[in-house]
Amino acid sequence: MSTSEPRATHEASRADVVAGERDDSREALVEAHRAGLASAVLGAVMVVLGVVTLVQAVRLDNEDQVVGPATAPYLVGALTFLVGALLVVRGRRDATLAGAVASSGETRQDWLRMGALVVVLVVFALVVPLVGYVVGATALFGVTAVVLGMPERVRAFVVGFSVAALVFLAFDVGIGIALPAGPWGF
Amino acid sequence: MDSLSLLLDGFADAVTPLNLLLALAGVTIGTAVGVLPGIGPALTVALLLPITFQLEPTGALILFAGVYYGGMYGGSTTAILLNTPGESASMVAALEGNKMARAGRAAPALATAAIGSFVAGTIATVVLTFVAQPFADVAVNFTPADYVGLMAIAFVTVATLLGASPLKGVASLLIGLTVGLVGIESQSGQARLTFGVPTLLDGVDVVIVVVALFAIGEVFSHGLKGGGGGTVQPLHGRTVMTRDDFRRSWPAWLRGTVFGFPIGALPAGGAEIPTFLSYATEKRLSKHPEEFGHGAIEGVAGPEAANNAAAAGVLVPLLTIGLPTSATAAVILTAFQSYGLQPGPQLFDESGPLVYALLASLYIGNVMLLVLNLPLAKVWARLLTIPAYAIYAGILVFATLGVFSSGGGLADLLVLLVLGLLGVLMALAGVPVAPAIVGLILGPLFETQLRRALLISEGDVTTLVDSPLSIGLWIVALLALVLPFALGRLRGRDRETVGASG
Repeated sequence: MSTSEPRATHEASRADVVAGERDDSREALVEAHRAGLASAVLGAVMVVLGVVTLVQAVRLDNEDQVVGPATAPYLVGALTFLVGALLVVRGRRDATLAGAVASSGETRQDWLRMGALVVVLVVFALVVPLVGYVVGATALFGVTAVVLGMPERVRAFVVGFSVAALVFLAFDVGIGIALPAGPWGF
Repeated sequence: MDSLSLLLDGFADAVTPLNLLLALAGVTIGTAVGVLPGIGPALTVALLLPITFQLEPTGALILFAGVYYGGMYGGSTTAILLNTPGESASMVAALEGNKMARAGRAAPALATAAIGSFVAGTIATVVLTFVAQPFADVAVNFTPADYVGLMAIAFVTVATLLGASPLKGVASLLIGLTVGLVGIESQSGQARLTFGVPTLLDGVDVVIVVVALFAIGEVFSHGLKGGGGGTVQPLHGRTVMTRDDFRRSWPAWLRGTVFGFPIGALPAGGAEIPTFLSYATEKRLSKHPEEFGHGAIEGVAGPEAANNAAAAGVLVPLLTIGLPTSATAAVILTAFQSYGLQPGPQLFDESGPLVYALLASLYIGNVMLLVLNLPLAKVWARLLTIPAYAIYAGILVFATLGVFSSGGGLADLLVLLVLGLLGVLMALAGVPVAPAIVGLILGPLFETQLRRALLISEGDVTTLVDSPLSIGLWIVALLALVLPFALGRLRGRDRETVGASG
């Protein structure tokens, strides 16, 4: 059993608590590297989002008020831009600090798995109006479970069907929320 | 006592068969989602929001409050047995709790968490009952300018105190605020950030944002990280404590409650802070400091009590001034709004019976939760053996259900996907989601109050810092913004010097 040494803690600060359970330091570095990269990408997205919001603010008519419809977009857009930029800098720094040790976090397979999930969700959105909620959700559950590593493939769909049918009974029949019905009414 | 008789009336409303059933359903669902990793009370309440079309307000709010309280109980089970706290507030309990479970002492750990949650939850609910009305009486006199200051504090504290990094918290808040801008601006009727997409004119539904950021982000980043769960510690025997366990636990419960309720009741975010404070205190006061880090029971008892007391405390600003300071509170606020109710000082005058029925249901819910969590602990522990792939596939099904139930179609599913990808980035980057949800819901309210304040002052911005109260509020907000960054820098420098010398 590799229990961690009693750390020289003066007080239970948040950082200690977070770091307390990171037994595997290499895994922690991979994680830090990934978090850094993701932060940088998120920061870049926020920079774009900030610009879009600012452009929107310019196009709004503030109706000569101190605080009008455009005020909030100006403020939020500018701050989003600024914080996004900071996040890019910070994320890149975090990633390089951790990256020296941990070179590769995700494998190709990990990205494929996530891509597959995106595709599954898009296909679900397109197909549900045609085949109805129960069939659509059965497929969604089954494929997702298999993609995430469920070994028994047939069972994945059987379980999926049970979940979908229960949800349909509870929400559509029970609570009365109209879920998309296929040609066969469920 | 006035509150007391109102509370008794509340009990009369809360013990109708339907409301008892709803409370039971709420706490059961709440415990289940608290136990299951990847789903939390905020997501669950969001998914249950459509039920507001079917139920009268009291019943629906009793259900949601049950989920809210239940989530807190369930979260500790996961923290102790699996060491991946479902709720960030259970993070501290995982420290000692999981060590206890690994040493074969899972049963007393769960028992002290459940009883501690009950003790703290009940004491806090009693206090809540009697401070809510006086608090609302004070809040009646708040001007729109004061509200602006209060919300500024809530924004800043939610962003900087939740999660590990203030910068990431602020980023999350801004994402929420941006999404909150989408739609027709209420005063002038101008469309903001709708890009000509019709479904965006009404704004992005709260359910979609909550589902995208919590559920989709969680599932996809799980897929990216390559699946796999933690090791579940087995639970032997009945969940009972020895006399010694009890002797060590009860002072910790009470101290945790003392930390939890007042801090939770502040109109500021950060319901996790009392758990950290409680942990540090128990460690300092313990007669067995050497056990800390290896499974000290005080380290579970205190933080869990603090966590539950804070959960009750959060209801004070929510009910009396309409200020949500956690993600779940923010979603519950939308439930009020969907009935045309606006939490705040007027709520007690206009819907007093509703408020007191809700408070009464919290007492009942706590008792139900104690029964659910002590003898039935094994049942909840078994939930943890559901493999991750099944849980995540299920989350995805429920996520899409949330979109349909909020009345969305294909376009909304695509909005869900886009926001979901943002959620994935946030999950991978370690950006907390709660500030975004609070920003999304508080942002438009902030704008309304700001414009109301300026309307009264006829455009004079100095009205915002006119009264001593509002000046004080802005100073607090400023400190809450600057201090975490400054402390972070100091701590960082500290670490560097330690690293250099070591």
